[in-house]
Amino acid sequence: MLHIVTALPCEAKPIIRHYRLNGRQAENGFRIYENDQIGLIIAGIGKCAAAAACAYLQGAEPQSKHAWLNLGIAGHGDLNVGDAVMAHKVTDANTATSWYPAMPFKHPCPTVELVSVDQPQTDYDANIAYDMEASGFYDTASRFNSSELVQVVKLISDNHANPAEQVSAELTEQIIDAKLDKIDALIQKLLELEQQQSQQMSPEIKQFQQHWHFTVSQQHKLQRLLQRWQARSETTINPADFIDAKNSKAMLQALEKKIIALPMRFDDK
Amino acid sequence: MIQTLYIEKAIFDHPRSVAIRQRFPQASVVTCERYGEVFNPKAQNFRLQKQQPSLILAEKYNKFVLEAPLSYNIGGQDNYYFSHMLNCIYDCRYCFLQGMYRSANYVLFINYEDFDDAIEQTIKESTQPAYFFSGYDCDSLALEPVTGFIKHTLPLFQKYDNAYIELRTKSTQIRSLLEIEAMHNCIVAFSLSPDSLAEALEHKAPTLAKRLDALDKLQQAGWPIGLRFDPIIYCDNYQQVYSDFFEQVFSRINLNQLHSASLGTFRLPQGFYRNIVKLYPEEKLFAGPLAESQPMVSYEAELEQQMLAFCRDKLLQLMPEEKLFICHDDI
Repeated sequence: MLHIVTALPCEAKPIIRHYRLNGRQAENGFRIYENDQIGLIIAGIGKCAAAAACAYLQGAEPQSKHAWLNLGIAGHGDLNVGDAVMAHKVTDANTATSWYPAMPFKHPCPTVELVSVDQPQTDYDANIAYDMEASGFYDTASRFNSSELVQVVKLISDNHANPAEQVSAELTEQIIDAKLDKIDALIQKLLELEQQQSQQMSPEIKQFQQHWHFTVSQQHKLQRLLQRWQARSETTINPADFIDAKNSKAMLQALEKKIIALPMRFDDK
Repeated sequence: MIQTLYIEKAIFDHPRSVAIRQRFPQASVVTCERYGEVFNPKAQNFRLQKQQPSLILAEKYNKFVLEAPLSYNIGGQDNYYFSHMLNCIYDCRYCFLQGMYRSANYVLFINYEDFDDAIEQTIKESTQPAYFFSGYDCDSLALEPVTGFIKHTLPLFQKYDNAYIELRTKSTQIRSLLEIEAMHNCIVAFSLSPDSLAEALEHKAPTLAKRLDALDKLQQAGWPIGLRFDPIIYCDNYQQVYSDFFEQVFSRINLNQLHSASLGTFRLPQGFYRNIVKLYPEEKLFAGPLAESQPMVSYEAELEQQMLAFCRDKLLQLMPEEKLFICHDDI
């Protein structure tokens, strides 16, 4: 699952249309637009709003680890209006705190340093992009997952020749629509990485929990034993294999015994 | 190869930073104050980063040379290590670096001259031959074409007969060594594993055959050779696997050129082990007969002793005892 946070409706609309996201019934706080892979919130302008949206999305599923994307518009001194960029460094202008999103994949678009400010920027330093949300987004979302899975993508909406006052909702939708291929490449990569991360869990544990009661410590042990089984055996294991185990302790002992008896070779692939 | 290059602001215009930037003209260049801002944050996934690590150029300020762990010993009494780089381009599943660092990015400390000063100082203060190990937190040679560190440092050791340097590697990047005259006090030590284990566990590393070819070229050029059979990995047929492997390796070795061999079984500090298992829960290596007793995770004691004894006996049929060193559990 990927969580997307935008500031404005015009930043979200191209994404909602392209991925056919459905809006949930109005809830307290934010409205979530979603399909089976993506959840999106239109947070409003500013760092606090972006941070609140992240917390709201995570709060809906506190146990889960999702990928995160902040998508929106930004100003830049040199780049052309309509250019898509990813942030390789996000700095909060007020606190001078910086974050460095790790990008262990082929970048779908150029990367830039992004500074988050409180007011629209009219004076642009060379080689720096300016927005109003990314630092609040990054500070919060990176508490919920590792930095490879927390990314920021911006579309350049204003520069020296095209000041921020001229940016309209129509222009914003146009430039995002025009770069949907780049945005989609990033979204697919994030979903792929998120999938790799979630595959590290062992899938069968719930079946066993239906047959025996495990303490928290035993649940950890069961999870690890099931992972060890998967590592050493090509067959699946299920509760029926332990029909004689009277309690969880006996079941865990029996599973460990079965694992020890498995072959341990590295030349069998 | 490198898509993102992080550079500390203070060394942005250092000639080595400039040269490395020129080597990767397509890379995104990102400045930072200190490398720890990029390398140390908690919210990082080593496994995901390993798919495409970045290079961080940094300056080291202190602790250039450190005392080596007790078992890091190939015949000397005064043993030291230094790390001009953190992390490795290979992806060996048994490596402690995966559990020690949160980031898989490579850190290169570019102030080589400060390493030189510290090494030289240590040599001068040593009352007996000093041994320096360079491949502790990285592979000594794998990134040599980029770093040029070994090419820079070896002339220092040419000045001192009583100082030895070990280059520990799985790499075939030996050109910079073959271009100069062999040095009696520079041991090129190859980490070797049987083919089946190398294929299963030493991802992205050169094959055993390629490592043996590189070793052979260096041996013929007169370089002292080290063999590092560490870690020995358990499998049901380990006796057959390691017997065949030792025969294969020693069929290529000129014993006169052999400086030393070392032997150790798989072992990791418990904290590192737990971090690595979280990253790679499906890995067969960690599903084996391991005893997770404090402070090290290793094979169950009896099995470990059996494996060490077996391998030691086999090796002593092929090489002299005084050149064989056993490594214990003090990473």
